Amino acid sequence: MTVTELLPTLKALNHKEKIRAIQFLANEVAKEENVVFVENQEHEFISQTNSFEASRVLQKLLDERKADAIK
Amino acid sequence: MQSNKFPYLRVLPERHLTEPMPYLPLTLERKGNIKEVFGLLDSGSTVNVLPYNIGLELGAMWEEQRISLNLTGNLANFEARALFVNAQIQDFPSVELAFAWTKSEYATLILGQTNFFSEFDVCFYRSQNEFEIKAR
Repeated sequence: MTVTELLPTLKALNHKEKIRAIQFLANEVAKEENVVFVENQEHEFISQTNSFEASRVLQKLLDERKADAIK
Repeated sequence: MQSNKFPYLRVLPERHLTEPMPYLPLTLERKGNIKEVFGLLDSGSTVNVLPYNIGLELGAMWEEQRISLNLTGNLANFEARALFVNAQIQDFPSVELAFAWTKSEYATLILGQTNFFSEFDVCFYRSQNEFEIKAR
């Protein structure tokens, strides 16, 4: 299949799906080039090494959701 | 057991990170909203972190998320709330990830111990610029 054949299908997509197609193609090209585009990268990355309380809360919620799914 | 290898990726635009990093491509889904993203595998992070704008693109409403979380470091000054999102990595079975959804739009999407590293085993081969993901 060629891009020319794809264009009418792409044109028929709704706005949301067009955005997703753009993201998909950008990610595919990035993967081929071994690069990643990071939006809004204005802050230096700092790891959440000490967010133990948040971790406990999320784990508790996960456990509750799994228990509810079993019921 | 299924395992897939991924390359380390160079981050663009280059501002702070000039070395390739273990960014994992994955598809997030929540209530029919889908977003293709790259998450930084951070075994030193206690939690998964989701930037504000990505949560919005997944259709999440801030006011509807009732569980508040306290983050640290450069995210300590931003509110964070618990958000559950389905994640698909290539052909692995879909998993539910628990995120600390931060009000910061400038955060990195982090995949941390709770609960990404509970769902997947990860081997880093930095000298070969690749990492391997295995389903638990």
